[in-house]
Amino acid sequence: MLRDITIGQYYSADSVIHRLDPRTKLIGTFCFIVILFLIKGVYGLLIAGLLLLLIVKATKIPLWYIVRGQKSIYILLMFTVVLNMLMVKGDVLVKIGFITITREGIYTAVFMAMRLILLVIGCSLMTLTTTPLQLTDGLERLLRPLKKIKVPVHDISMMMSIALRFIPILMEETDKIMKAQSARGADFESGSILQRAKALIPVLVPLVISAFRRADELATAMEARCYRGDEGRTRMKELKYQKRDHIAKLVILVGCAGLYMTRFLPSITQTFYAITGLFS
Amino acid sequence: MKEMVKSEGLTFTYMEETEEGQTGAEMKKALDGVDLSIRKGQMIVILGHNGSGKSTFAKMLNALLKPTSGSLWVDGIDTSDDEMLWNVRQSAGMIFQNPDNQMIASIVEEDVAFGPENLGVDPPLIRQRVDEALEAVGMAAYAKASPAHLSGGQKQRIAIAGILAMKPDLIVLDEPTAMLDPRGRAEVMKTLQKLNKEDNITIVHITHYMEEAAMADYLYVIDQGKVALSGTPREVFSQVERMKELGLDVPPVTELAYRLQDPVMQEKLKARGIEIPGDILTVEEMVEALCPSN
Repeated sequence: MLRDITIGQYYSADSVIHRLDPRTKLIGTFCFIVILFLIKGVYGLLIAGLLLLLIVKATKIPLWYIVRGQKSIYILLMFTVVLNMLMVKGDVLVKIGFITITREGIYTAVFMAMRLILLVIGCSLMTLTTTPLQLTDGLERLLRPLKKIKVPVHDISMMMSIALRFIPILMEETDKIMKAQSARGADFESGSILQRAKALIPVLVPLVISAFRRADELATAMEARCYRGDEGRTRMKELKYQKRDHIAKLVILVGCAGLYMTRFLPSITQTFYAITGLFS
Repeated sequence: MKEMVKSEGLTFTYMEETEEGQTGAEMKKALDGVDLSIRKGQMIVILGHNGSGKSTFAKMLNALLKPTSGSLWVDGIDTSDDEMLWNVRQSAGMIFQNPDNQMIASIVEEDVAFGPENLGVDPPLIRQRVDEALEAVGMAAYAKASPAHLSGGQKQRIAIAGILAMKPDLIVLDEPTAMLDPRGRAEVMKTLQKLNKEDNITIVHITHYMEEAAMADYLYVIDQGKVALSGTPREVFSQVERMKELGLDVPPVTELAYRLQDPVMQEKLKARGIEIPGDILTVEEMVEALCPSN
């Protein structure tokens, strides 16, 4: 189950999106996130979703692979949906005991769920098409101006890339430890939430200890390979904007502007009310 | 031939660290007056049971640890010289036991490039070195792969490529095959032998496997921080009793040959016209001794 999580994982394929400069992708993702929060109606999100689907097609990554990787956010998603449905006040559609479901509630729940899904897929597209090292290289270059005010940009980006590198290793290790503890009679599946949380302690302790040991060994190995921070360091793949990056930036600009315009579309709520109105 | 590594009275003591981060009481003498010299182009194996000080020695070759007293020169550079620290680390590449814990990048070629990037090599030259290094360890086809999908032996070969890209004169390997299956071990050993024979890279290999030790040009056995035995594999392994005293084994075939030296056994063998020398190292030699007609 843990192995299926693909957050922060690179998917090797040969596509235009993969070849884009990581900075372009970072800027694109950032714009996408901002615009998601500026979009007001479901129409806007639908169009954003459609655009995202086109990008997914361009990455040559199978859609099921991306969707499967989002499993971990399902719980969060359910939470958002349920909370929004129950908490938002408005025209009451259904009322069972203390539970009231309102028109606005359903609308907000759907809207929030869509936004969350688009957000996560958008971000994971970036990590799926960019190797962690490229990603952090790009981030380092983008944040370079911050160096002037003594922000350790290089160190932060190195830490990030190592963290991403060790996600699958630690996942595998968690799996292994859980199996080892299950074999000795540990029970992770039943009991109350509190009991289950307690059952995780014998998993977490060895995991943390082993993570520290790994960190220590990795640091030694990095030193042995002459790592001494940013000073005098070169890159095999120097970041250089290509023609495709300029085109991509143009696409991002036009896309964002277009999505922003959806704010001024005739509100979808009217359509929505019309549909839900049929049931009340 | 020039000396690659030379040590004189090399001693290292692990110090207890006090809370202020200062060195406190002596804890353990890991190395105690080691004198040895390794010539360029040799394949050296260092043997010793756990805690004998062999890993400490390996880390000193890469200047990760500095001598408490005595001296160690790598390619003529004194490892206790802070100014030359990075030169030592460049010329003495180091491979560790766990292949996962020494990979920095999530893509094979980016990991191989890590060393030369740290050295500040020109980007086009890094590309060339990475390709050459991957070619040398036979992993060129996996340049774009993720290490997570490789076997232990393959990962260890990538680690070797990562060192090769730094153009070292010496590769130090601290039990590189301990976590590998027999096939991975064979892959790594083949790679090491090729690098030693074809590219004339000096190799210092620390291992537990006696079969691997038998392939060395010269062996050092370290016990309690001192060189207890040294010589060619044949010289060292012929001292079966001494090896056992040191808590080490000899290759099974060598042990068999040794046991056949027993006068009773010799009598029986002689009756059949077979003569078995006491210093057999490999199965092939044993076959040759048993059926000389082959």
